[in-house]
Amino acid sequence: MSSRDKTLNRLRQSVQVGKSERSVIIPDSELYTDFPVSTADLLNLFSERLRQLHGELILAEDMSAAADNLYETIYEFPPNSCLAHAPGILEEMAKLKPAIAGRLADNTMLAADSPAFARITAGITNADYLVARSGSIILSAATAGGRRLSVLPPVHIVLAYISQLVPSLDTALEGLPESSYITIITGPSRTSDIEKKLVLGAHGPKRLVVILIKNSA
Amino acid sequence: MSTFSRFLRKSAAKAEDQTHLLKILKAVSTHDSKVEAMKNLQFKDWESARKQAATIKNHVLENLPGFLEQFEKCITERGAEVLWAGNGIEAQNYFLEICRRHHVRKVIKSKSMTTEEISLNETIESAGMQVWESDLGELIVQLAGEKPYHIVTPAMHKNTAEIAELFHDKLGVPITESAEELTMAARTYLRDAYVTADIGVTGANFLIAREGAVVLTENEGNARLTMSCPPVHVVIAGIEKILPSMDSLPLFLPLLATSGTGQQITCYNTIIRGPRRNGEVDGPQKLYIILLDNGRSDLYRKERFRESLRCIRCGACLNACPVYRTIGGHTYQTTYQGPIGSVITPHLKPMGEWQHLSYASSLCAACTSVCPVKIDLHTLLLENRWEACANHQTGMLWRFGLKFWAFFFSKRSRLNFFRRIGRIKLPIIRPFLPHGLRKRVPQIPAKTFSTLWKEYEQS
Repeated sequence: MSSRDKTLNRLRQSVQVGKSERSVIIPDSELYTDFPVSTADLLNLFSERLRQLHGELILAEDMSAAADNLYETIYEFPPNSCLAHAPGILEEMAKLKPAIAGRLADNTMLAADSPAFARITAGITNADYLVARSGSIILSAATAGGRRLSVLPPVHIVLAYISQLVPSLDTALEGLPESSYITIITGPSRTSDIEKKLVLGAHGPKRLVVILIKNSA
Repeated sequence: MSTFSRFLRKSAAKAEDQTHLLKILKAVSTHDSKVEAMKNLQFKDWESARKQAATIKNHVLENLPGFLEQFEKCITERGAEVLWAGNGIEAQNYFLEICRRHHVRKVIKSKSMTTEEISLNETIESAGMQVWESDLGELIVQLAGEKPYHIVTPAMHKNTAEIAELFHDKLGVPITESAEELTMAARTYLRDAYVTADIGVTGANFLIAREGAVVLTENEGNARLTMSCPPVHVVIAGIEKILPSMDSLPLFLPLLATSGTGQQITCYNTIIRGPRRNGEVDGPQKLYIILLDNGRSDLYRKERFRESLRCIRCGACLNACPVYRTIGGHTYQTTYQGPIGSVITPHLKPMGEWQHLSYASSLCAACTSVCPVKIDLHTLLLENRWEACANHQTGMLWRFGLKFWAFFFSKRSRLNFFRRIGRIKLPIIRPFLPHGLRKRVPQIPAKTFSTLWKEYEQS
């Protein structure tokens, strides 16, 4: 008998169904305090949480302001040292602010081997959702240029619209795209393994910058 | 020396060690205040949240075989390969076979207690491969040649100065007092390992049955790198890690973070639904999931102990336990320390050798009161004692000691005889009393309670 069957048989022999209470899923609005409702609430809570977590939030009135903000964030990095996967938003930004293109590495880098990929300074990605309650960003391999772009470079820049804000995790998990990899990012990488002292940038990005665009296209 | 004697000797030594005590108290008290604050800050009602979590986990246990098959089916359809390991040796062999198949020489690992349980690092090294622990705490204990001190905070017992010295010796880093500089040294040291490793190994915090997914929760980003860069990803997870569906995550992720580290939610929570898919630019081409039984199905069969499989390994019971705080993590000599370790270890390993852990508790129930899935830990410790006695696994000394005790205590005159001896000969019998020599033993009074009572009634 295989180990699979042995384990399953052993479990089956003593399984007892229907003894405990049935579990019902409680919505986040009933579980948690600070549950945001209005758009203003969502934005306020998201920015408060992200700042507490040492993330950087830049609010942009429109796409052209967002393009300026992006350029200000990346202009000090060496040429071709940023890598972006933000279809839709980035093309528009590059039109409004052509200097952005000078910082960007070629998109074929996304599939480069890891030693080459590790030389990238900043990863620029889209997001699927922004979660107000916890100040989190949800992204997937499908929307964020694969798995490495948002974790291997020391800086992660997220380009998103205010309309992508949701109150809590339960709403976001209902509508995720088909992808092999989904990650919920809550602030820049951190550790407290040495005497419980907080240090940012343990292995993932030291800086997390969110550029949030008010008027969605 | 038996495991039990070693345990006694080590606990006596640690209990006296003031520096150790101060380090642990400092870590635990920082942790405690954060956890308590977050419970109230985040949850409308912590008690009902943990009750809900326990209910969901009970539902999982009642349907465990079905959920495991559902998980296997869903994730296999998405291109993963699921392997079932009955015990640690089988899991090691699966892993070595995978390494041979993919010509692996360098292994990068993110923190996983399950791999500690099956001694994976030793297996990898004796097969001639290199292995890097990537979690900062795990890296520290790996470099020091030690085992994790705590299931959540592996290097809790080391202060900055000790870590600085270790990094200076092993990594050639200049001595520093800054936790930041030490963390950056670890970051630099491991960068190369991530991008050149042939295989990445992780555990799992949750396995999702309905959608077929593996969920990993962490703060540093090392797990994300481990499952993003290398061409092969191996997950090693206990069969009890199941949750019914993604619907449970909005409760369990904040619950685990609050109990484990006092965070609202950990920095990175990652859901893996298979290897790289067509059209995706990176990620491993192969995903293997080794489901580990290793005694869990035996524990499952003991109905009274089944609830211990609800555990989500948050470490709250360790931090709360006055015994853990005093004797420290290494003294247990087990993969899982503290109350939960004392409950499950005697069932996963030979009961006779490990049953003494059930006595490493004052039964104060601090563990039970903090458990986020409401495991009745202190009662299970009592149940363990009962089971060990019933199966005569308690050892000669214990059995004869109890017989001796029963003989004297079953008759008033014998007890009085013992009292008389005790009063005169206390200094002689003192070393044989099980209190340890440092503890003060009260003098035996001149008159017994019953004598006093009689006198009182007569007066």
